[in-house]
Amino acid sequence: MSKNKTILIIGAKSDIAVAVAHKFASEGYNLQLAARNSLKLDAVVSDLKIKYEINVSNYELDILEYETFADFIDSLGCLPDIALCAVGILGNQTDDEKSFSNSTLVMRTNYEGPSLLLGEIANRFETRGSGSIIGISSVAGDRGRASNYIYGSAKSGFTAFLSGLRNRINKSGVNVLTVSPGFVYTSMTKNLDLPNLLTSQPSEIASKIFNSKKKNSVMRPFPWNLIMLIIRLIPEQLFIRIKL
Amino acid sequence: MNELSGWGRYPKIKTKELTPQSESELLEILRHSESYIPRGNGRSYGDSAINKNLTVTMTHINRFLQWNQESGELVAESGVLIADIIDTFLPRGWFPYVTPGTKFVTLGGAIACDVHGKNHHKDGSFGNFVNWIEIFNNNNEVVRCSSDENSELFHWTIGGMGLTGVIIRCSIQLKKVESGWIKQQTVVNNNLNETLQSFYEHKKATYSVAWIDCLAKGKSFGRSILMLGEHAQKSEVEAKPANYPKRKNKKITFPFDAPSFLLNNFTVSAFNKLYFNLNKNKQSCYVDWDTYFYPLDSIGDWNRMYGKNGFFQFQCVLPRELSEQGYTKILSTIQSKSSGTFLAVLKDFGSGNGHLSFPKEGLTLALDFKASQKNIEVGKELTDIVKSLGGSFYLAKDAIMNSSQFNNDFDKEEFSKHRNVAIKSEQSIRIEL
Repeated sequence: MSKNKTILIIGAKSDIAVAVAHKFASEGYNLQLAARNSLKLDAVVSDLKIKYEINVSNYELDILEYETFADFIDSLGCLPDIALCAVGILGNQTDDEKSFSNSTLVMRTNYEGPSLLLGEIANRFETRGSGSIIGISSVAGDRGRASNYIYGSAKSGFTAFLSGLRNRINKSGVNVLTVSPGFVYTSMTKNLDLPNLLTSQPSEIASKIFNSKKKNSVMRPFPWNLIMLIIRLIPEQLFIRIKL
Repeated sequence: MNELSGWGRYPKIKTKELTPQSESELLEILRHSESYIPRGNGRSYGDSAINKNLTVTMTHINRFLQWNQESGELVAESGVLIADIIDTFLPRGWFPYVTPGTKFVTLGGAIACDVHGKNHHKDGSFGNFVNWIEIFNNNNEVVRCSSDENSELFHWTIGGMGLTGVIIRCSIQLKKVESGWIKQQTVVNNNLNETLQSFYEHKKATYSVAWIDCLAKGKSFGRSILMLGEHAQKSEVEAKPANYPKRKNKKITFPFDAPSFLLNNFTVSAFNKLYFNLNKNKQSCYVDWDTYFYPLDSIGDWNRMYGKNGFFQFQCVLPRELSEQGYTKILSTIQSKSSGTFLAVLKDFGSGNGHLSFPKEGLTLALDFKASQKNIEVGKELTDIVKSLGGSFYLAKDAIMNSSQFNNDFDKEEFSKHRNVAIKSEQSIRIEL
């Protein structure tokens, strides 16, 4: 085995996850990639191996099946140095608000699964006394808005979970980084009309994550930190009259 | 709907553009589309990678699939850029066998246009180094073709402008190199006859290309600078800081469309004189691969230099024995119509490759023109001259030819057997290919 560090990327088919994989691989990290239908990752895996000459292994994982999480972590070749979760689905607000099953899927995929899995990995990191937990949350979780509050509330729960986890675990050598990237050009947002100036490329987010991997904080890249600060400060009586 | 154009930014056409992220997403799109064209990185100049109904951009289908460090065989998805290949494999001692003048072309585009480089006279075109191709063919199946397997499909696909099917994956052969440096030598030629003669004299050089001053008149008519190159051996460049230098960062990016008055006969003529005089005293020197092969890539968005209406390129090949007569006529026409160009490049070709490939034995000339009505007329006149001399045109550059000017001396019946009828570009409709 090489002495290189290892990062586990959960939800590895997402565009941000692939960009993160490229960034860490280019810095010499070995990769553990976990996803549902992980066979679809074959081309990504061979590409990463050839480009960076590192070890890449991929694992089948369904974020909704928490019974499998302990076995999944045991099956990893080694407990990674960093675990990053990029799992998420946007859903469709107007359809989801009329459907229990749709709403449940969005809530479980964005909140329950990522929280339970990162929570369990954090416990193992705590026992070892080292490690970094990175969760990709969303600025949508900063305040519920009419246009996407089912997704937003789940991300809000995830952000709160990571915040609590950080509060609990930071003295044991484990850091927890929450990333709320703002708009990113990805498959998830390809049908949205995004403003150019406020939208990042996945590779930009990946570089920022790499530079902040050891931090205990919430990362909202400029100008989203300012935008969300203002949105959170708007009094509720005024907020309900704004269409957002 | 958004507006797309080729690198020349002329013509601009409204189309629906989709950019699939994976092969499965791509196949899903193709199976449900009645009329479309695949598009690489949009570096062909005209309208050969635009279909009004649907343009499928392949740049995210871009993974390396297999690599053999011993043999230099690379299997990759077709949206991989030449730049990606150099970034990854040059530090391991491998370089593309054939590269066009920009590294920002995809493998699929390089095969479809059967691109050529400064070594065509010696090594031939890109298609010579393709082991096999997997394409989405006219039966909506993915099939592999090579010179041994489905060989007719293979030979119609190389240079076939993407019309036989969407190129999904391919295997190519890279070239072993000892360094990332090129030993460059320049030869000054004082007139057209010397220019043509010097290609013949230096035919043993691996790389050769001539920049020609198309505005020089009288006894300097057709003067040029022939630039020769050889891959430097490791021992020659030991003093350099890196044996395999990295790609250069873009120094400048053209921030806006240049105002059209900047390009006039005076500035173009001054540029040509300056360029000739700057280069004529250069001795042999070692230059890094990026500077040697891709001088224009270091200026981001250089296509904006020609203003917001864009430009078009004209590239033809003339049979060797008619070259002097033909190029005399072509340069005279440009001079009399005052349509001088910054970039006039002359190159000798060896023998050709695919059934529809552009390169064939002879001399090729490439010219840039600002896309003005006057220049388009001049371009059409040049097209007729080339046609009358039995020459032909590079479809990757063309934006103005009509179907009667297109040199269509190929076996149409045979081509139609391999043609994927759902695939059409604005160019293929225009020239009835």
